Amino acid sequence: MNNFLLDFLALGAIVSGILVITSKNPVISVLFLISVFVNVAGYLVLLGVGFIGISYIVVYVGAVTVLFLFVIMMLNLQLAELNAVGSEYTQNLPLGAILGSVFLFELTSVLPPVLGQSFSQVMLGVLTTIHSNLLGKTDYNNVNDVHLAFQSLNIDTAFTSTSGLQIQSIGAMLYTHAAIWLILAGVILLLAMISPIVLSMNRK
Amino acid sequence: MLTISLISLLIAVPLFSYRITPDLFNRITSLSLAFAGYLSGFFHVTNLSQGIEVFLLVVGSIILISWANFSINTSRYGSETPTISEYSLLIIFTTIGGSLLISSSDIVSMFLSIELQSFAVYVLATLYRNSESATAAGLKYFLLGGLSSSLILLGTALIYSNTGLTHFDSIYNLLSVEDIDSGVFRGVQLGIVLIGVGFLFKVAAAPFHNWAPDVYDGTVLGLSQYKIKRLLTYSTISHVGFLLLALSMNTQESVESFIFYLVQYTITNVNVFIVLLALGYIISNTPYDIEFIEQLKSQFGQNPFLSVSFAVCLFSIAGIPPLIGFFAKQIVLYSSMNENNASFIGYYFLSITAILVSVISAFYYLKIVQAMYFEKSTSFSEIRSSDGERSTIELSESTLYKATSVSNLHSVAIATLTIVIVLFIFQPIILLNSCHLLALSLFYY
Amino acid sequence: MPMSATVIGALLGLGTQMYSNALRKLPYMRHPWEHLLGMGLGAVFANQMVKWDAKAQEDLDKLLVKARQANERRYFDDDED
Repeated sequence: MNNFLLDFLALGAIVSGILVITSKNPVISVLFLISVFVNVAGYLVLLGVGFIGISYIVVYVGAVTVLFLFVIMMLNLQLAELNAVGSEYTQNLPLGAILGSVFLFELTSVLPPVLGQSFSQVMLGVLTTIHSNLLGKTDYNNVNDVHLAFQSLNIDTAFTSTSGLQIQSIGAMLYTHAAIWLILAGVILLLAMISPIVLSMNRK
Repeated sequence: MLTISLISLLIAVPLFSYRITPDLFNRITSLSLAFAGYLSGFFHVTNLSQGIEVFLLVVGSIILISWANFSINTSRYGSETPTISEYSLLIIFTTIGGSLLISSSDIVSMFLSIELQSFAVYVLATLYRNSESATAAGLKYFLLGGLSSSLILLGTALIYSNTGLTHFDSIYNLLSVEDIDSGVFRGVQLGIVLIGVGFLFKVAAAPFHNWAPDVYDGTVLGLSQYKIKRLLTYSTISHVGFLLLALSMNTQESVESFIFYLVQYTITNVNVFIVLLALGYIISNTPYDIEFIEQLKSQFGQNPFLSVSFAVCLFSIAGIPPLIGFFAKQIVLYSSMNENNASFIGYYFLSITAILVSVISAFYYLKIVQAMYFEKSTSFSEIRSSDGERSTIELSESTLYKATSVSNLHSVAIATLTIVIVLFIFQPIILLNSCHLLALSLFYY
Repeated sequence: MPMSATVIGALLGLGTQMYSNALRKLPYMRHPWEHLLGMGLGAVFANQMVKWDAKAQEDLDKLLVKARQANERRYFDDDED
């Protein structure tokens, strides 16, 4: 049941992601963007990484996309122009489909066979496996033992073995081991604050 | 050092922007960059990263210091200021990102510093928001940069999901275990391929280069070779090919040639662009730069020394012997034809292709030189500006000073770089030894 | 030796400054104090260059010896490690 739900949510995220870029009306595509984030958040919560899932909801759905929505509504775009642009892009659809399928074929032929034996399973399971491996929920293969020998203070072990809450372990990692990354991310955010001001300030 | 100057600039920009001109901000930033280069950055891991970081900071300093002040004439052109005081701020951001990227040894810090570096560059591309081409270029750059960043991110995620490691050394150690799971190995391979594709996008290497001319030039597709910045972009693409040829071999010699090529190409390219800026200031007497090669026609008669500098740079880029560019090309080709690589027939093929391509591209540079030296200018504005120049010569020298409006530091920078390019042949051992040292320190440190 | 480096550096600085004046279509010897500054900087720069060159040569020799030792160990004393 849980597996089915996970696949369902992943599929929902992908489908609404496609709808974001194909739908003509920007308001609707932002709504689909919200749906992507909700799906992904549910997916993450089901996987057991509740904190990141909930922060998805809070940050993206609560703040970012709603802001998008307001901006798009205020811009008052003309739908006719957008339709003209959209028809230009649909001309390239076959080419895109060919390239995409070639890329997918390459991807599936290179990806580890752990993902599943049949192609259709792979199609649905790519995201699942990546995510579950990424967040340390599946059973480890022997490589894990090797890398534990190299690095005992790993984020995986910190994430799973501490008795505290997830947010505690994340905070512990972020403020000790990864403090320099936190600073770096802070600088990036500073840049992200400054650059809109630079670009939109009215100098008189 | 850089962070301190960043924070102080951040405070200074809103507070004193009425009292300090933007040029002064640029100068201050340039000085602080040079000083940071002198203090050799804040994150030194190896000799190599340190050396390249010093070079990066010094180049940033040169670029900023040569930014001409044009505030004299701005009143004639409305409220549009050519220099913006936030410019130097963004330069500092991108320099911090670049120097962190050089010394990063972990996937996460690599990605973060790439983002820091490229975000600032996106904003830089869009900075002149009143011009349509700049906004288009910035948007295009942003979208494609976002694409390549997400490719890099996907690659790092694949590597992490397959190994659980983020540190470069640990990944290397894990992959050198003999009986490694082949699935894991292939996953890591795919991740590395994706990261490589993303990086090739970022450096605009040959299969992924289509975006670069648009961004540099900021115009729509269709005009081919007569826009000068496009031409320079294409030359950058071919030079990136040379760099990748040197990088692909991973021998001592090739690393040495890579560093040397990078250094000389950066020097020459910076010089090309600042000479172009100076020519633009002089010809059009506006803060706008030159777009077409046509505008350069018969510049030799009007600005002989600038034209000579420009021609020297172009010859160096094309690889004409007594200049620095020739030696760089030669050393790259020499290391690719080394007997250690003799078993790989592919390197011969690549070298021959590189030679052919550089011969072909020399044609385009020579076309610019021909336009500058031998063709008569035809367009009306050209004649008018040359007339204006002639009349200003007869005026008093203070007005002449305003009319040329290439700032002192700008011309000093051009002069220094040109002299470095020309005189390299008399004392090549210093730069070559430094590169050799850096390359060796990578292998036997 | 330091004498010649100083002279060459000063000449380079002077030349750079004259070239820079020529770029701006000023007379060659305009702003004479800048020429002095350029000569001084050029002399300092050339001396630094000589120093850097000597140091680089020294480091390079050391590293080359190290590299040769590493190569010899790799090729000849393989079974001892």
